[in-house]
Amino acid sequence: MFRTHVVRQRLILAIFGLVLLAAGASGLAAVWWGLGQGAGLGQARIASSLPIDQQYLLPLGLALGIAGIVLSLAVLITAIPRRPSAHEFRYESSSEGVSEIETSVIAKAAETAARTQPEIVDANVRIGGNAAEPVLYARFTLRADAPANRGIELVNGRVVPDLEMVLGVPFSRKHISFSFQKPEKQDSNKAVLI
Amino acid sequence: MSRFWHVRSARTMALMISFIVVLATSILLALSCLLRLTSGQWPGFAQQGINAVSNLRFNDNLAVIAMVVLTVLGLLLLLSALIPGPRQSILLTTDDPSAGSEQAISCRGISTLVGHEVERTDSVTRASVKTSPALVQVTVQTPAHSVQRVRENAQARAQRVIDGLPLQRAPKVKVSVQRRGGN
Repeated sequence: MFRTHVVRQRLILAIFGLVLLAAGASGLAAVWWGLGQGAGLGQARIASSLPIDQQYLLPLGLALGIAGIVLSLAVLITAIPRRPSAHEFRYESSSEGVSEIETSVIAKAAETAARTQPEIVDANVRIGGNAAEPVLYARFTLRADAPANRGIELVNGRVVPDLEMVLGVPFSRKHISFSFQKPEKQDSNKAVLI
Repeated sequence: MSRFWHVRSARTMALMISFIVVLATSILLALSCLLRLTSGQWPGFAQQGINAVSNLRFNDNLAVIAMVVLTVLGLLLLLSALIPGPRQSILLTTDDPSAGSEQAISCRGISTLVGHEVERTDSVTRASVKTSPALVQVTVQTPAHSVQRVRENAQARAQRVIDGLPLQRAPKVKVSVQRRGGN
């Protein structure tokens, strides 16, 4: 259960690809078709066309290197897929005072409760958002040899409403995914007719 | 409502590999310049690189190959960013974005479900299933001579599984049979 930034990552990749494409294509165009000043470029030595002996090269190279390190680290760190983080919900009431609930504890309890159901093999629950507008992220693995609809109805009709009852408010958003797992022993009642 | 499960690939692997290469290059560049500034000499690997590039002309094969590689790599990255990858899940009828409810079944889960059901078909020894939002591709192995009957039975079972799921858009089912073993 991981969250990725689809649009941002694709945008960064597109810009990076475009930069590489532009660099490679403009070099090829200059060499092959003599674009701009490139007519004699093909025969020119690379060393004579680049400012290798210029004094500003070292500080510029150092600055570029540091900028590259910072930029690539920033991209890599933000691209690491993350789980939706658990929260501590704080409830304030004039009659009952202040209470706090760690959502990871509720999520763990919900996972344990779900696994006790015969249709559900595994459950992975996270609760995000805030106390007034909680958000549910859940994946339920159902038994492949049990009716799929019954498992889905069980989750929608009991597991999720029970969670909402514990939190005291309905989820503002629910993100639920279902998967299936084969039973360990296969049905031995079938015939193999040759 | 932004979706969490029913999303396209973020191309995380391509992005990470690209920027690990950028990071390594940047570290080498910064390190080379720093060593040149402090000791007055290029480090060995940088000196070798400078010597190699110094003797190179723009229309030398090596330079042209490098530019072609750069172009192809850029094009591949650009295309991978622009072409939307397939989703790995199928929405359920209970999915309702206006009510803030996202509900989906993973394609892998459907493969497991269909595979389990098809393997229970008579004369089927093994079934492998690949599922996409548009197609469930089932390949079954059987020792039976009457391949057609096995195909029909497997197709019926797989179709029954898909029809029984509350999917918004059911994928098509395609069964192919491989004859293995038997006489």
